[in-house]
Amino acid sequence: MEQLLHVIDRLNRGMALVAAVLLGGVVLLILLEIFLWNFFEATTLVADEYSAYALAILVFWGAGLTLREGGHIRIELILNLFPNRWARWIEFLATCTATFFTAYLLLYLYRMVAGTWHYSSTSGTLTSTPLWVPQAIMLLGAVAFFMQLFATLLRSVQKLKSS
Amino acid sequence: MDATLLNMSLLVFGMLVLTLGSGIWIGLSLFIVGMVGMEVFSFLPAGSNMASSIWATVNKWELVALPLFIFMGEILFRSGISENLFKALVPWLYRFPSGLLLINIVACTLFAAVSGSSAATTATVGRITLSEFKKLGYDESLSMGSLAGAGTLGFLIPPSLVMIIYAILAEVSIGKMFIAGVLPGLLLAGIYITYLVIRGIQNPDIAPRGQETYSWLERIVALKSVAPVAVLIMAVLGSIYMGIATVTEAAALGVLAAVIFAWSNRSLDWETMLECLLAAVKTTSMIILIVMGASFLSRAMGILGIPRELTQFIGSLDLSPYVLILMLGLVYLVLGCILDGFSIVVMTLPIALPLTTQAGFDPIWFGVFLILMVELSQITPPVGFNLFVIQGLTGKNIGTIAKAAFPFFLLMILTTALLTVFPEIALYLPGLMTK
Repeated sequence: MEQLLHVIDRLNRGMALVAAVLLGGVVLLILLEIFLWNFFEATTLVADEYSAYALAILVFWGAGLTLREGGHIRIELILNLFPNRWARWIEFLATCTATFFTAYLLLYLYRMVAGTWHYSSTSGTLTSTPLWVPQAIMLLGAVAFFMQLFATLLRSVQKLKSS
Repeated sequence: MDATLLNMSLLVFGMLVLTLGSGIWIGLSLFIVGMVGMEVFSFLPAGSNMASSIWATVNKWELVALPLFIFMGEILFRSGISENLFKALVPWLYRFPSGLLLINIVACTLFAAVSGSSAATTATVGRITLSEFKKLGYDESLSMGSLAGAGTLGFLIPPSLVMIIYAILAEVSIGKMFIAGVLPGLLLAGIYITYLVIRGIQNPDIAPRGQETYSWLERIVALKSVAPVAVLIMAVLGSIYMGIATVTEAAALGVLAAVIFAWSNRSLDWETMLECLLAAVKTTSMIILIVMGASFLSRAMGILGIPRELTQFIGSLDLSPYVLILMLGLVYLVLGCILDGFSIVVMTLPIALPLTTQAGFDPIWFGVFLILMVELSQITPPVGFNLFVIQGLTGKNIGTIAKAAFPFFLLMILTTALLTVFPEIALYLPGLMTK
């Protein structure tokens, strides 16, 4: 079990690092666009479109590590009013709900990607980018986020057992 | 209001309380409530609506400005800019009543003009001023309080992360929203300064004056260490105001300027750069998870007709606009005690925006009002992020810090009242932009 948790943590950290590098790439792409436009009246054609895809991707690729480090905001105020044992149970149930829900969300994100693939939907811009590509990469991030939530669930079970 | 609508509204509200209260992450809570509402009360498929809502929210060029401004803030936080600001301001402010306490206000105002976040502004300025003030024997309560109050300018003075989110959801121009925050921000800073000066005249012991003297030449020379900040402000706000760059492009230029500045004073290497990028990714992920959840919940509520009916209902009460704003303000004060700024904005917007526009308020004005509400929430306990930052810097307990911030809380309410009576404070500058 410890090993599984460790692997999930490592995976999400790695993905967040990739997302960080991607964000650096977005900065360079936009700067390149500004430079080309102002000095050569040329354009990359893709700067706004691709940086928006990158945003969609980095939000999900970074979500797991953010969860692991307690970065996602939640209200702990009311939880703290309960005695410790109760609080752990509530936390367990809350994490259960969140994990179940995310599995459901994942299913529909998958169906969306399958749909854009099936109908070969494109961006409708000059590049005609097939939309399933950025969406599928985003979906990978969502899968990793789900795994990190599952790991959080396992940890809350451990906490329950130890008390 | 008819019975089904009342049932729906109660169910949505009850579920929000339950999911948020049980400690489910806020973004996910909003998704869950929207999904249940849609499944129970409509014939539309919740799952596929959710997926398309996510893609539509997150695949957006304007929103790219968000991670860029966060990244810029992370670089500046590590860049020694706080020492620079302090050095430059000391010769100018040491002779005023309350003396260097004013640095908290002025430095926060300047830093807010390059940073999009209140917590970052508080942390950046506070990590240098609080320890210096302690050495000088200044009144501790006023040191902490003025920092907590002035730190909130980070959200009001552009660039501002909350404003980006507001403008996108309310479908107003981010550029105009930014510019609308300038005068209210300066007004608030001016009111803080006036308060500190009065306190300093009443009781000079709160901030004992130093013995140093500075010549005018020294003062002018000292200014050179704020030059980078001035360049940054010009690059970002100047390019937006003059309309030569979109907000996202201005953010990228800001990042470039911040990197050059940090690189030139050797506070940035590749490792730090990656650290900044990673921090920006995490904060972005945190904020956008909430925004995605709120967008979907808003879509679900729209399908159920809740905002429309509620707006009609409250419209039929025939409240005067001031009473409406007062009531909204009270709701926001309560929400602000337990929720963070982003959640407050995105959760209340679907209902509050149609209500106020119906009552004749400009959406840009309401945005500025909402930002002030968010700022109040930053310094109200038990959950106030500026208080947390100061707790991290001083190790004092939240109650003590909140008490120190209380006068500044009242001054902020005064500013909100002024803004409500004189909406031009927010609307004058953006009005000049439309030609």
